[in-house]
Amino acid sequence: MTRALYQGLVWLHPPAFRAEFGGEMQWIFDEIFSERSAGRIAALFADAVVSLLRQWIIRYGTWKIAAGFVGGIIHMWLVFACLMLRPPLPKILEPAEEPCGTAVLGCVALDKEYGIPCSSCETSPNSIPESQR
Amino acid sequence: MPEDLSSFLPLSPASFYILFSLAAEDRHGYGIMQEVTRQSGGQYKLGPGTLYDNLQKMMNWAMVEDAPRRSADDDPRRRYYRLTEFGRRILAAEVTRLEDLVREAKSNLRAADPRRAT
Repeated sequence: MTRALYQGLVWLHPPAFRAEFGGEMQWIFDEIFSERSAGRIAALFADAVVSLLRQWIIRYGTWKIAAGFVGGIIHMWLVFACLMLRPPLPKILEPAEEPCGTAVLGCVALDKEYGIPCSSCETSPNSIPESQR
Repeated sequence: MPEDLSSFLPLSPASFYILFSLAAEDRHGYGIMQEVTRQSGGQYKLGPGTLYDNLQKMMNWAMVEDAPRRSADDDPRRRYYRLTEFGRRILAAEVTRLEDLVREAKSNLRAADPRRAT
């Protein structure tokens, strides 16, 4: 059982490392296991777990994928937070009861010709009485 | 032109002890672990994971290489390792660095010794 557990830890190492050193790691475990020292066997397990993490995270470059994933999560969270905290959108202007008569964008002149609502008072040319046009 | 080995120094304790244990003779992994324990007076114990992680790194840097088996009766899982010429130069450079460090430390301790000041 203990041997199989250690074998499993060795097997979880990156394939290249496992192929090169896995057999030897298992052989060393067998040598130390035959001494029946619980302390040494526990130290072997701790060492194998640290080695496993080091191989995958540092040597195999998985930290880059993990960093990209964490970066993506932070980015999404920031976008979500910005959307939640943004000020409310300005209210759409209600059409004025009376045309404002702004001459710049042609409340009277342009509207009449092209049918564009006034940029200032939002009054549609159709809503202006014929007498005011 | 002298070779610049400073980018490899200082060596980590594990790397230093592995190179140190291989300086005298070729050894297999378990032999390296036992020798490191002996050299450090039992204060530094290397596990197989740490050992092979460092060996992999040092083999990639051509400091250590595979050595031929000693006998046909050896366990086929057992591999022998030896120091390359480059590895020996790295170890020598690290020993020189440590010697300088010890010399300076001793000098500073002597200078700070109040019995000598009187």
